[in-house]
Amino acid sequence: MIVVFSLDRDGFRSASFIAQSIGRDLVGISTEVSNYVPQLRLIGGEEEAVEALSSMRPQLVVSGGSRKDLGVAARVAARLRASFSSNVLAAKLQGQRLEVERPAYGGKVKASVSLELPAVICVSGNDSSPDTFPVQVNREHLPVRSKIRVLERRVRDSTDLRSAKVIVSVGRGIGGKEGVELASQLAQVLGGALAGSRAVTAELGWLPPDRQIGISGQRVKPDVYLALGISGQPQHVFGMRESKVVVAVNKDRNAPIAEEADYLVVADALTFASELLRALKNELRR
Amino acid sequence: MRVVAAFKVVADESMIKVVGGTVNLAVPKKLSDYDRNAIEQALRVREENGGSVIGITVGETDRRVIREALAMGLDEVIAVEAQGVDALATAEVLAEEIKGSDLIIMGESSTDAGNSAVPSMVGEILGLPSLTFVRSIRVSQGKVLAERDLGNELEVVEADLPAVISVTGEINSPRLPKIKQVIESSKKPVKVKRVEVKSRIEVKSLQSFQTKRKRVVLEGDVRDQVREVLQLLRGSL
Repeated sequence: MIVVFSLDRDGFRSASFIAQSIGRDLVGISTEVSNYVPQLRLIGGEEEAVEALSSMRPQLVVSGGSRKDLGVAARVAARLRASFSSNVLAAKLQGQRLEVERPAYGGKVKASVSLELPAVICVSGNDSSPDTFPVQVNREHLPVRSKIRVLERRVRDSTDLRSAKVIVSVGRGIGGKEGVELASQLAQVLGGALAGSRAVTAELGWLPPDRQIGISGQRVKPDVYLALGISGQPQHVFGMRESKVVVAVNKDRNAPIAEEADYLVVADALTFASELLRALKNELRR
Repeated sequence: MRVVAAFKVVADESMIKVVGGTVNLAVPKKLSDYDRNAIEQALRVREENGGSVIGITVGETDRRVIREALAMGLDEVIAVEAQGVDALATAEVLAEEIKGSDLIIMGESSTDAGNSAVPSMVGEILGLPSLTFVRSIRVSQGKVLAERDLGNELEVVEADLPAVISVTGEINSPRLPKIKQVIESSKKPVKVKRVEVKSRIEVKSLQSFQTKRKRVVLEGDVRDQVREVLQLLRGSL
């Protein structure tokens, strides 16, 4: 039996897809109804999930990869004394072991790792559509007491960048909010989405956190990825590697992004962005 | 108050080169990125609440990296040398070593494996609350108040000490040690231990993610560059 788990819809879909590629004897644990598994146990939250998952003593748990899911999955692995891997891209059973593919070293390399059973894995978000089943749903109320008191919850915006055909992405090298505004206009003219590195989203706050591309943000695959002032840290590259054409603009021709670009424009990102925007607007006028 | 900052010695991923399909891991070691934030936060908790900050590392015990951590201001370091530790084995060793601490602070993920699992595992093994992906904390009167950054949600939570927390890279800006601290760090105590662990995982192979890029470099006048980019945008859209 494989237990599929996630506290959110997207994570459950991604986890179901990987679980279905391993086997068909699936039981789901989630907070909302989904038909990617034939049997589903509905639970309330993190604490109930830990209890429900570990009491089933499964040989394999396939979990979503959200920050909450990671916490639940890791706690379950500790209780089951199970092997663990997160960021799983693909998995298959090999006898009494599970072989997974996952990024390592900040997303710089792909590792094949063999895990002893029982195993708990968290999958990297994918845009797959798993098979669906007629589903039997059990709503459960497990008596649990959390050691953590939640005082406040604030929902933030979420943007799905995976469907974007063009992405204009900015890094520190765009210089500031003025540059981000230019990039935003560029994205608009090109009919694309605006995104950024961890530095400009999480750290500097030039863009909201749901615009982050990379190992701790989203994985995207547009036709064109225009990277403005992004140095190309492995953590960022992991999120944009599946782009069809990569155009990078950077002052430094030896920046790591040069290795990951089809076209490297050696220029100041801000200057280039404003010139490109002007040229595009001129073209539209004609 | 006894605060523990856990940190990991990792291969510097920015130095890793993939040549002819072979991944060369014989590169300089470094302090895993977000562990620097963990150490910084532990020092701030000590500054506000008094007590001590003990650093602990499990796995590789690179002397230079340990000194760097000490130079930031740790009082001492416990260095547990172990080969082939996976997430759970690391958590088991950590849990054993840090029993009796009031607050255990770790980074949100390591730059090598990046499982983001060890803090939750340590909490579970010790029966303590684990607050993960924390972007701000306040410690007072035996409690920790924390703001968790869960991506599309922020959660303000509270737990009694002792507790385990993992911090995000945004929680603070880690301090740079002064020369004096670097010199003094050589006199601080480092307890070295060696343990044998059973790893539940085995790394079969490391490969580069294959992406074939054209790597055309466009230099020169910005207007010429714009013209060329416009042309290739037309071809790709």
